[in-house]
Amino acid sequence: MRRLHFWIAFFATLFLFTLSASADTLQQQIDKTPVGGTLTLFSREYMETAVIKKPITIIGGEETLLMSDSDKPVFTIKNAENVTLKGLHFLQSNAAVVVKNSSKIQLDKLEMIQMFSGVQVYDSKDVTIKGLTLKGIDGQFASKGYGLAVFKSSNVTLDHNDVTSVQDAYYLEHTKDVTVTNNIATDSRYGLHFMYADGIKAEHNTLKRNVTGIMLMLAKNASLRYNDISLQWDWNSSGFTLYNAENIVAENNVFSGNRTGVLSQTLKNAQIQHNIFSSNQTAIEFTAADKNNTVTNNDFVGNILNIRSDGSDSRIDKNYYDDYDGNDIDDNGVGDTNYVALQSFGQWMVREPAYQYFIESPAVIMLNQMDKQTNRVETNQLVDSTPMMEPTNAFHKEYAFHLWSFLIGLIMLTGAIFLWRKGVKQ
Amino acid sequence: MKKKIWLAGAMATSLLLSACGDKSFEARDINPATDICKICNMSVAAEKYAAQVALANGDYETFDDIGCLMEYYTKTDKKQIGEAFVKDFSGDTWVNVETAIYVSDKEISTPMSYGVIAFKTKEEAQQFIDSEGKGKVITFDEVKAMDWSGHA
Repeated sequence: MRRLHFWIAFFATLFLFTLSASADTLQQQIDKTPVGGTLTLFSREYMETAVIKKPITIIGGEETLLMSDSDKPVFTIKNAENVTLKGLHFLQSNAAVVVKNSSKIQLDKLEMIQMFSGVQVYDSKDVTIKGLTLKGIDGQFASKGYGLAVFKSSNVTLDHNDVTSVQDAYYLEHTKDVTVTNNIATDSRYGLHFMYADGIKAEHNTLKRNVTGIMLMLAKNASLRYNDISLQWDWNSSGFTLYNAENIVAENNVFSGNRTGVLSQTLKNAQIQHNIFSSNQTAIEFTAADKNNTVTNNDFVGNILNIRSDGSDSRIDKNYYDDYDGNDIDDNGVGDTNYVALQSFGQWMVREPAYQYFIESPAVIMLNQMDKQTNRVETNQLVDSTPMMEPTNAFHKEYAFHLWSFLIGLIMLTGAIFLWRKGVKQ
Repeated sequence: MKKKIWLAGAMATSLLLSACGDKSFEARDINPATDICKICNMSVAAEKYAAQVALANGDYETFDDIGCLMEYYTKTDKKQIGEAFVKDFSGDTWVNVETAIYVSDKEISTPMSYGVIAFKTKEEAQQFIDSEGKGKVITFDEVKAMDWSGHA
């Protein structure tokens, strides 16, 4: 009997302890966790905010859901080191995490839905954000916040994140040494937005249906490689906009279906090489006194205009152009005559974008044909003296088989033949 | 008959004279989906930092930051500019650049990080400085004298 009482008392205490622990606020749980300890949150909803000021790891339970009860972020990490947040789910809040004056911060596999903004990092270093997914609120981008925003920080890594429907998916201002790899940005204003950044590595990112894929402004020393930049197709859209930037390498990227692939303004010392420009309205546009830039070993396939310029100085060499109609008599893989990308209409379109609506009009087609004849004597502007006869990159045309489209087409064809035969018999 | 001719003449003259008077310019609404900054190409998404120029020929140029406006304003022939406007930071009105009150501080976050915002009245500007604990009031001449060319 005494033993039974003991077990009843034991389980009752355990139950009550668990209840009271579960009832603890987020802040109380954080405060109770020792320095360097791990806090696993209960599988319940938390509608509150908390501040983290010590080394700690916070892990979400299977059904842990975090919401802010005010305009404040759910977590503020302030003056802290070695903080890890892992596997947490956030919902309908102004911001999920704000990091200030901290270092060695890891945000791993966080999920955010219907958020105004996701993560903001200020004055910090050694910050890694990986495996995060974020879906913003509905509406026009002007009414939304940034997905992941980093200000005045150094040694920041953003890897394998997926952000959609925000103002700027990844915003980095006054940063030094940032690595942005394998991220996805869709349906936002800018995919990657760099301002006053120095030391940028942006590789293997997928940027689709944004106003601009990568917006690089007042930045230097950037390596933009192996990115998939497609369907930036709005009135003012572009794959890359490189404004007042220097020492930029744009290499092995694929630009497809953009209004403008690369739009540059006051760009210095840029190397645009080994990229594929496919089905863009304009592949590359140089404006406003660009200096010392090279465009080499790129493939231009199916673009309406390949390169246009307002007279900026750039070296163009060894690119493949699908509209090049020269010969290669000596069979060395290089065309025997120059390729001249200069088109009167293209130049006008740089100055007056509204002209783009006349791009395939009969008058413009005739003008382009006249340009082809007169361009034979052009030797300076937008001239590639070594145009390649074959694509220089591993450009593979994708052949996709759409089963449903095929079946519907087959049914409609069969129906048409049946009706036709019926008509003939009558 | 003579009286009618004189009357018609007087009316025509007054019409002609009124047409020769100063043309007034008005700011237009910003559309964040289509309006981009003339200088930096950024969309004008945050209207409270925005500026615009109504050109003498009837066109408009829009700017996402007062810094971008000033880069344009200082380099453009004033005959081409009808009137330049900045958005009142604490309200919803457009204010003439020359009558606006400016607050400057490098810690004031603006789209291009130029750190200058505009107000309709000095009281509003001072209220901002008091509540935020940063910034100082500067004149339009001081704004014009600042270095507005962005550097990487």
